[in-house]
Amino acid sequence: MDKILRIDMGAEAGPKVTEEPLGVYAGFGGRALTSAVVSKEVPPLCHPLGAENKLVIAPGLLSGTIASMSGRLSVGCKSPLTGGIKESNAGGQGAQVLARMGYAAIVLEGKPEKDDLYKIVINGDGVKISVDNSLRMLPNYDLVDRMKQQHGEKITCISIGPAGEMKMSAASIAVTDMELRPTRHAGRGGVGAVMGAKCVKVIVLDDTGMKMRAPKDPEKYKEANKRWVEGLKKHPVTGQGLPAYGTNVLTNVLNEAGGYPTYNFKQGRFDGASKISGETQAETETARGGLATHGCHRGCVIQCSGTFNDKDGHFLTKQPEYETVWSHGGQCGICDLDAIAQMDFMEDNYGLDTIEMGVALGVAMEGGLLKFGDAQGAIGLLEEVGKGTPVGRILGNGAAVTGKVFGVERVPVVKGQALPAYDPRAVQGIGVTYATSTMGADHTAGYAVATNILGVGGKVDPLKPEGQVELSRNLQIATAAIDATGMCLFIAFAVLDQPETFQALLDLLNAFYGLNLTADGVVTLGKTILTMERDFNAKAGFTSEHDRLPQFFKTEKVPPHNVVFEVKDEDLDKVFNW
Amino acid sequence: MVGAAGFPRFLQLLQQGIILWREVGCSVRSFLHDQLRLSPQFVEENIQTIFLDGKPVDDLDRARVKDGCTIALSAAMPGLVGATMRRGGYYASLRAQISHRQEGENGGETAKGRVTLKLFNLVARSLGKTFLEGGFFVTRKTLEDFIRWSQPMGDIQAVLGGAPFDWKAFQAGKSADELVRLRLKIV
Repeated sequence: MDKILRIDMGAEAGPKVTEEPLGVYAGFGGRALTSAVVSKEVPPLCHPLGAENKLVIAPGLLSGTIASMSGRLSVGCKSPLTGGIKESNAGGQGAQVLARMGYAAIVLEGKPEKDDLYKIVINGDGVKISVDNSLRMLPNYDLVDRMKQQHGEKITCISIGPAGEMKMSAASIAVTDMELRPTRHAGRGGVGAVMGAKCVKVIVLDDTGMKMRAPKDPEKYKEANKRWVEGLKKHPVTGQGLPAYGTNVLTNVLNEAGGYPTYNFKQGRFDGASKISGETQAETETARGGLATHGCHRGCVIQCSGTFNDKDGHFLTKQPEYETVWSHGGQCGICDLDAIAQMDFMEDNYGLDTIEMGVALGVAMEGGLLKFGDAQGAIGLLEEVGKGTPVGRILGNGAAVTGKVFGVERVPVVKGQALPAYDPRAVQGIGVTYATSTMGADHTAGYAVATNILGVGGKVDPLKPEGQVELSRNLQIATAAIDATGMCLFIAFAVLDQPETFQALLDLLNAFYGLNLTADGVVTLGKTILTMERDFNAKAGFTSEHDRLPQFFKTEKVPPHNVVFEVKDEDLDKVFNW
Repeated sequence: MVGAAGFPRFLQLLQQGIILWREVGCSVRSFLHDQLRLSPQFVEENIQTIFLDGKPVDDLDRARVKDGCTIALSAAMPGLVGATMRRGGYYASLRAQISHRQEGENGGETAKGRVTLKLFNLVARSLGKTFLEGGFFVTRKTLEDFIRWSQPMGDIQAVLGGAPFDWKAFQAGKSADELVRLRLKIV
């Protein structure tokens, strides 16, 4: 993984391929690499869909190795949704395969003058780029089936659906899973629209004959991975809770806490929550012959995913995650798991971010386009998005655009990106992260609950409210660093409670690269990434005024606790003081 | 009576909350140990998240169970917010505005009272059978919703008041808030 593959899609004689060493980007992987390339090479004021923007696809530092959980693939660019820097990452096979093929990143540059659609095939023979307009407007599942017919079953696909081709701001990039289904998405920020603007429909990877990446110290690496896996398996969250129920296990807990955004953030509890909870979902999946425990890529030991079958026992979609179930469930007032699973499939197929789409649907409901709870109406609107009808194009450009078109005041977005499934009035600390993240409202921007182990920013009294700004800062630093490794963020739960498991992660990095990295080094990496991202956003025109939640969170009390967001603006402005 | 395969769907009732009559006025810790008969070790190791009337509890000794309250029990949860909800957890300050305010350790008199108990995730899996077989109350509305949601009932045989359960007659019953006593027999 010592080279970068650059493809200039706008070259005069057609797409031009070059390979180069890592150079100034040595030591970076995943989010660190995507943000470094974007911040160094993309003009911050460029149009996100223009030739000057670049799409960077990068596996993490430990991807392509035997290290368990190292399969996250980062995608970076200037976001058409937020107008700022974007890193969105996905599971699936892409990171492992790309890393084994030796690539630290693929960078798509430029823009073709004509609107031909391209297919890129990368295998042991090299890189082949061809025009294939027969792929136009194919949904992801049909596209992958076509690729299987043409290239066999041992491939991995990174692709866009119709939403990406139509350059919708909610368009995702799909990555195939172990079963070669396009179920894993770099969803946030409209990265699929940027791939669509480059006129690339699919990147087909075939790593046949290629081996796992070799660490500098194989014995130490193997031993560290053993401790790593043991730590993940013995922890109650990573070893029991997530495998049994998946992320949707959070529904009941957030609902009980009054922090489950319902009816477009009008209230914090949903009467139908138990009908769509992770417990009910797992029971339904098992009863229908699906799986409640399944990994999204080879080498995953947490296995938080599953397969959701329809009432006749046929595969419908992968297990919808908590954010998806919420955005189409509580946010839209829908308590029908089958309808939610159907929408999950449609969004994977059309290539759409499930958070952005669910929130946009809820905003449209508030705007009177359909009633809250109308599951079939919501499915019908998603069909319109896939077809690109005028209404579909409005929704497909996200919650902010939808709110503006339908005259809705309560539009839950920050920097143009829809809020995820935790009401920031009930859980104010996450509101700090929503407001200040470089990515727009993003729960995963401050997700790595390992700050106590890292000792970031000194000791914080967890029971004092003033600790919220410090905690958010530390969480964002830790998350940025983990995003660089290719590790799934869910590892953080075991790291939080088990110092020996955190040490195993450090030992993996050190044994692989021959380093002596300590917790301080991890913190430095996280700060470096965030500084690059903040600098890019500042040059793109972002100010402290963009680091705010929508006004209604400060003025509308959310039941049952009847609280508003109370963190002061001047405190939000201190998040990145280090 | 329900077969083992049909049992998991009854966990839905535990998610919505079952009603118990127990001694109240005590601390949450005392309630869990003495009224629900949960061992200290089980509570310590398996119940990391506790809500009292929707408020996350940090100190089990300084939160009091009152007549009419709702207690929800959960294992450790994923996600930042999952970690945030943990009792006494490192990230508790992130939800300070909704946390249960600590009360005095010494409460007043204890007396019989009504408590709604919700069991989630791995806690429901561990304790659900015990509570469902032990007998509990739900409101008529909760039961009606559950029966509608559970269709078809499959291997479930129901007896109400000693006679075979009559769904139509039940629907024509009294107020939605009326309590119905249930006891599950797993065969």
